[in-house]
Amino acid sequence: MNFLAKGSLNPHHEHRDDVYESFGSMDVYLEDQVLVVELNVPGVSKDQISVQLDKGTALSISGTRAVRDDKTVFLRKERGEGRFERLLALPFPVDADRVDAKYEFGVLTLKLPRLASSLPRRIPVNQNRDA
Amino acid sequence: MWSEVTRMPKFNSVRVPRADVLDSGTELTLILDLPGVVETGVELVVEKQILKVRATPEGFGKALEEPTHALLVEKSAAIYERTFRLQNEIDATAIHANLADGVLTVHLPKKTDGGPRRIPVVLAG
Repeated sequence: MNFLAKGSLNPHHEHRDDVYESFGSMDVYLEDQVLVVELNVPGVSKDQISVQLDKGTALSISGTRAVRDDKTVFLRKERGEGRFERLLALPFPVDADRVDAKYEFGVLTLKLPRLASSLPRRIPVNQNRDA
Repeated sequence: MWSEVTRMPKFNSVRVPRADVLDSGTELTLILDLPGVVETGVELVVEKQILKVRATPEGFGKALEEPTHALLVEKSAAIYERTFRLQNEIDATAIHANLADGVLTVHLPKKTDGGPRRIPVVLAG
């Protein structure tokens, strides 16, 4: 079960419009020919995060945020827990061997360099002098 | 048991972080998601049983100055702010907090004086 897609499964979840769900929010931007992905995943241990790249263009980030035991007494429950997953179709193929990933302050940052063979190439235009 | 004082206005630059509140019997624990925030970015103030949390993520403001080729913007830098009214049973002088992996945990111990207390009876002689 993916709590990002389904919302919090806890029955104590209180719906409030003005509370911001930071978990799972993502920024994607381009720095030269490197695609940078920043994903908010606060409170998840590093070894609980899995990053997968399929055919260099389909990125999957998944993991689990620890679930509290049944004995926990909640007076308020807004934060999601359990399994999460985000998928992203990349705009160009990236080099899986040169991907850089780091997890800091609850933010996962991936740097995905564009695959050299997919870089734009200049095509020379020859002038036909015989014409 | 536990109530919020104000609802923050919906400015793009100020967000209300999600919170859990746990009761262990001897203390309440407030847990807030504050991704991108380091210790120095957290301001925790208690005044007259009002607890105010304000947190600024690392690099806040910088991202706006540097134009980049953005493809998806969901988590745009924002200041987190939320205020709670503490019940009288909370000992405001004993509150302590820690931050790990973008999650702030605030421990709010309950007062031990004032309430009924069992007094042990020791057999003499």
